[in-house]
Amino acid sequence: MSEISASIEETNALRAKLGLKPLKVGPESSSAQIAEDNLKRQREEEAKKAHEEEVKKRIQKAKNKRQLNKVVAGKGLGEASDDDDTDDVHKWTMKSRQSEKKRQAEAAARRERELQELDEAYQADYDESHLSGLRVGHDVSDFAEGEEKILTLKDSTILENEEHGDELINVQMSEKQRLDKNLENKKKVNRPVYSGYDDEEFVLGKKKNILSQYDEVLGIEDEGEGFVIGRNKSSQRSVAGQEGADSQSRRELSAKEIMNQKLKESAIALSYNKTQQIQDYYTKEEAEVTFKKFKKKKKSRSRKTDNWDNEEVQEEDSMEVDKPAPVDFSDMNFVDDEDLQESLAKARRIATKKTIKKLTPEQIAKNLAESNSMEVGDDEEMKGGLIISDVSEFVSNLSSSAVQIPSSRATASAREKDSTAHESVRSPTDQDAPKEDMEMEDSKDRETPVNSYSSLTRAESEDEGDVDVPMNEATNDESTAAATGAPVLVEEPLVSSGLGATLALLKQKGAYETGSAEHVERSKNQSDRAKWLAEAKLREVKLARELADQKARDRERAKDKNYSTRDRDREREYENQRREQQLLDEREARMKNYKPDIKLEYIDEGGNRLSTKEAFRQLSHAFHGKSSGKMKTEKRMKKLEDEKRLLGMSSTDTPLNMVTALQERQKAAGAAHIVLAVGNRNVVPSRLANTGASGTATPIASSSRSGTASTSTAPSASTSTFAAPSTTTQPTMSVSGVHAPNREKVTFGLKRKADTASASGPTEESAPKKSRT
Amino acid sequence: MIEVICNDRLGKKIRVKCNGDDTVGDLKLLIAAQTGTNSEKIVLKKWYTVFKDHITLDDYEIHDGMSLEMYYN
Repeated sequence: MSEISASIEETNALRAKLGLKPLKVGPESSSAQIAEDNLKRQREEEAKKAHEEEVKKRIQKAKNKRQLNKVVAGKGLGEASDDDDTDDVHKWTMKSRQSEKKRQAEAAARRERELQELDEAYQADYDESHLSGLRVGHDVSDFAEGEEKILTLKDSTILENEEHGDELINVQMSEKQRLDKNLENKKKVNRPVYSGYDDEEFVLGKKKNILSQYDEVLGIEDEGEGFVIGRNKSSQRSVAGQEGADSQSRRELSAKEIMNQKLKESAIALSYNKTQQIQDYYTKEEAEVTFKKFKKKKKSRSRKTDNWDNEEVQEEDSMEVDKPAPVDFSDMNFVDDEDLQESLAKARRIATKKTIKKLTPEQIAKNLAESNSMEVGDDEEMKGGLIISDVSEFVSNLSSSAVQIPSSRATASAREKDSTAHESVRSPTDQDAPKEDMEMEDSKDRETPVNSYSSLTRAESEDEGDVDVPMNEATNDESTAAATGAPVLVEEPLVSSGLGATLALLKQKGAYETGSAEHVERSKNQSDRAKWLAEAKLREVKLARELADQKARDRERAKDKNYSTRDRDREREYENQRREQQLLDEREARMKNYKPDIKLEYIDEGGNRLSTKEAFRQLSHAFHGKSSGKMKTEKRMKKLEDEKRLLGMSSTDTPLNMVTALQERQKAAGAAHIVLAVGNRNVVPSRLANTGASGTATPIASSSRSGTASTSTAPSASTSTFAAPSTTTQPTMSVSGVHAPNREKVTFGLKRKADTASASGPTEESAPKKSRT
Repeated sequence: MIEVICNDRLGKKIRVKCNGDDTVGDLKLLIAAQTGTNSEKIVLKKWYTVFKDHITLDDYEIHDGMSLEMYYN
């Protein structure tokens, strides 16, 4: 693609055609340039004007001054008056002269100073002396001979400048220094940094930053190297430098540094001579230097009568005379090897354990032997102190287990029988110091109580059997009675005759149940529990007594002087262990047949005992908040009522009280029978019904006939009678049916028959007979 | 005198000589005269700025050697 372009001429022609100005060709004079030029010109003009004005002003000033001088010239007022005063002329002149002189001197001095300043200002040569006292921040050795180095003032803050003064450095040299330092630091990174000690802090006096080995040196660190110009004589340098540094450092040490210095001076070396041996004797200096002796507080012994201890103390005292002052190692640490110490401690512990274990039985045996020998030797001397022989131990064990059981169980008679045995059992525990020969007897006796105990338990079991037997008999009696069933209707016992009779009545009615297996079991459990409780109480009492005994014994033993505390402690410990074991055993034995007696019973609002099902229903209703409907409740209520009525029913009568009715009838009619129906029609004529009883008739006999009579279809009226089985209720009466003419139907039967007969309709009675025998 | 390059990217690229105090309308006339298109149809743009006819090139700060986009209505 080619660009379309026109030359200037062409464009100008075009522009002319279009009516535009021709192109501006040539150097461009922009409006901005023009404006700039204008400004320049204007400023030049203004400056010229100002200068002129200034010159004019100066000329004016000079003119004014001249005029003023002209006016002031000649003598002043003071001079004129002083001149006149002759007295003071001399004085005045002197004064004026002096003042004149002074003024002149001052003016001269000022002029001189000014001149000097001018001189100094314009002085070209600037020599070594001007630099004296300036500090240079590099070592002299850094400057080679004949080499030219440009030194500049070091950058520093105002505070630094005031503290240290000006310092000259060479930028290149300091740069080089810094580089070297950084390189060194970089090398240091590869080396291990952590040494395990914070020595550097103490040595260098300042805490290092974290990971300081990675830090780069940014500025030139003032390390105190360098020199002061003017003191640079090489021979004096070392001394002077040191001196200077010393004085300078003294001057410039900040408070912190002073503190560090002090700390360093009072530092204590933690390193010690590990191979140093512990010696029995130290020289005085050594002892004083190494150890501080603590004043140990002497424990005041509570028992001052203890001869044993006193003896020891005395011994110690006597020993102390030639002993050197005991050295206290408590605050000294000699432990080089902790592992070794640990293992040693362990070994020591094991050793002590062993000796204790071994010692106990031996010690006891020894004690026993000693006490025995003491006993045999002099009985009178022995007042307190316990004798433990195997027999006595046996006895104490025996009594604790044997006594408790019978005492609780024993009946009065058994206790009487056994009382002697008990005493013999208890005697050893009660008596603290029985004689040996007595003990032998005791041990013999001891066998008898055990036997007696066994016999006693046997007796008890028999007793228990006895208790059971009568109950069984009673039940058996009842059952046999029921079985034989000789009297179907038994006489009701009278409540008025006593509680026994009442119980019997209740039992008869079934209101009070006796002898169900479960019941028997429960009652037995309860009695067992009662027994158990009693036993427990007794045991507690016994234990308390034993403890008291033990304490008394201990006290006495404590009084015994030949008994060391350690032995005593051991003994006591042993005793305690034994007792605890015994206690545990007992408890276990006690709990062996522990049967808690639990029975859940639910009772409704009416006070009736509920069966499982009923109880559940009640719970369920309570839970769900609704109960069974009306019909169901009524039904249940009716059932309950029936049951109640059944309980209230007499056992000797029918529910409809037929027996009493019959008896009343008999009494009223004076006959032993009642005519229920006559003839076929089963109707009792009113006459007969009313009077039949009163009339004498041939007695109808035998119930054997009645069956046939009832079945026979005699044309004549048959009479049926109902006679109560009154043999039991009325023992004086006996029924004997007297046979009447065979029309009559006489019935001696059960109530059902009578019922049906009476219900069947009107009955005829021809000759009901009842005779008394 | 400045020289402005106008390109329509469709095959026409014109180098126009003009004065700084010419208006955009004058420039369009010049372009039209050189290319033969109607000056009314030319639209001069720089990015999204459409140059208006009655404003001078100086005011739009169009300097020597600048290139403008050319569109047609």
